Amino acid sequence: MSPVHSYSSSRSKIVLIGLTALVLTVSFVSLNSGAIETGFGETLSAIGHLLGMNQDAGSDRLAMILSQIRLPRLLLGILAGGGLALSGAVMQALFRNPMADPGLLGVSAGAAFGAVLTIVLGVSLLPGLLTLMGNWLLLLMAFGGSLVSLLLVYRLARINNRTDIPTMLLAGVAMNAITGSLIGLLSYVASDNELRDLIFWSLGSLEVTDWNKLIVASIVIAPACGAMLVYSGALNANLLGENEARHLGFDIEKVKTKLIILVSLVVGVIVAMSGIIGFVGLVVPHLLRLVVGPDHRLLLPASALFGAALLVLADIVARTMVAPAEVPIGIITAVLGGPLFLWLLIRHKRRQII
Amino acid sequence: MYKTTNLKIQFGQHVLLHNLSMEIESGQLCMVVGPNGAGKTTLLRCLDGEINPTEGTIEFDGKLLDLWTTRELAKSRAVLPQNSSLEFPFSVQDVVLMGRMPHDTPYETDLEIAHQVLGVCDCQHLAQRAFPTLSGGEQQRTQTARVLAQVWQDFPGHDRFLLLDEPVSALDLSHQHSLLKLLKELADTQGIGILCTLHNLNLAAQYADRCLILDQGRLVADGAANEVFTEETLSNVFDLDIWLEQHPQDPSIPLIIPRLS
Repeated sequence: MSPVHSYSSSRSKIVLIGLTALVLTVSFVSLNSGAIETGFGETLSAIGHLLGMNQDAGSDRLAMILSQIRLPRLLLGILAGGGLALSGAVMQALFRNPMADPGLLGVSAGAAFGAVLTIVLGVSLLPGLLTLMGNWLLLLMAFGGSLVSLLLVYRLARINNRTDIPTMLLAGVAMNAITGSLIGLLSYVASDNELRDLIFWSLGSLEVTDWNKLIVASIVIAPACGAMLVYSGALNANLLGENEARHLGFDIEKVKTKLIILVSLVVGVIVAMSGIIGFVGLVVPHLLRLVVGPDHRLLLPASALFGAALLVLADIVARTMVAPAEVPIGIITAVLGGPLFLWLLIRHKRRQII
Repeated sequence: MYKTTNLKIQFGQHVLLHNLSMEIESGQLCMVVGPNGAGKTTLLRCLDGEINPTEGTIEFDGKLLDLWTTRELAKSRAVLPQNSSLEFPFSVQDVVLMGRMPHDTPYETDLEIAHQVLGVCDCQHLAQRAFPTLSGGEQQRTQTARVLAQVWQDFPGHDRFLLLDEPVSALDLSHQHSLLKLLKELADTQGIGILCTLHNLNLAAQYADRCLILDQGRLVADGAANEVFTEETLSNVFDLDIWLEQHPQDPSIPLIIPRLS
């Protein structure tokens, strides 16, 4: 029999402090690794230089590399990893089903379609809007794409107030196929430059070319993630059933609507920034549930932290494996996440529990 | 405290409840019996707010059900649906603690209440087990404990009420009796109003303050078991030749025995 842990706030604190330490450690390693080899001491003094703590001229060049290349990339990794893992955990609670994930269910693909549509047709169809809204238009379209696909899959997968696993996964397959073909269609009319961008969406990358974009994205992602944490109690109750949650005093319809919008926002913006990075939202909450239990008061913040650490780690691998070239990070997460997903399916089938 | 007036539920051409008017007082253990499809669960789902009545009104604690906020209602009324599934590995103790969610009581109080209800539901030894690994009966006792935890504490100025849909369907004989005895005690000593659907007529006869017999969406009898359980009514409603005896220890309790054909 698998051990279970009753929720305890002191244990939660220890887990969250441990995970925070993990994120900080991985972050430092990430800042320290790249095409240009640096020692820990140098990196530390360059970080100090950036923070205005020393005026060491020797740190100048490295400080430049950090602030322009490695730091924004690290921040995007934290935002995307944390946001995707948190969205996955929330979706699993909404669907009352541990196999839900933004990538599998086509939510990321919907967002990618919205983004690609803007890239390819934005210039010709909506030139005024594009100049007026700039970065925001791309984010808005990606959000729209993820919202539409999430709503569709949610509606399709729910039969008599229950989520039907095969229908849910099939609806996801269909969403992925539809958006995939639409993106393929757009690639026919795309110019060479746009084509490069399209391939980028399908493989994922944490490369950040523009600090402004990153700031805009974090203005959306960080508060939306914070807002999701507020609903941990309602999500616990929702696992008992929607009516049960209502009888426990939660306005579950309103909660669901808010969470669907928040998840679409976070996934939409992450996809707009970094393309499709699969399996983080599926694997992270799953692994954590085995260790810390299913209570969302701990599972949600722990997923955000662990997801951030894991994606930053994957990015370090992506950058250093074939340096100075780079493997798309979506390939790394899929190579690790795909087999893990199969293992979860088999395990679920055997034991009928999560 | 629960009052329905001319309640009617209709889905398409099917009328599931006809003009049902009734009132349940606090401190009453009221059991709804009737054959499959008589409308027992429909009545409960209507009272708990899941289904809106086609016609008629429902009042709780003197106020129309629609006018209650979800949160306020959850503080004084708990509901046990017929089957609740929970696939995620919460511990039994955590499931029971969810019953305390509507209340703003300190964690220590909630934990104390959880221990008490786990005790009365004979689930204390399961407290640290994962809910999905329990047997059907153990799961039902845990869910019942959760629902009891929700109304366990006196709530000054407010009535407390329990709606239970077949709470003993998966329980063995001794747990059936201990749960119903507990419900009777809660009604008598705590003044909690309880409406409970049940299939076992002998259990209803032994414990209920009042029995409602539903048949084809109509309330056919309403009163104490020894008044409404007659051979004629039961034989008609259940389409079975029924013979009534008296309990050897207490002649006021009818014993329901199907006749050998």
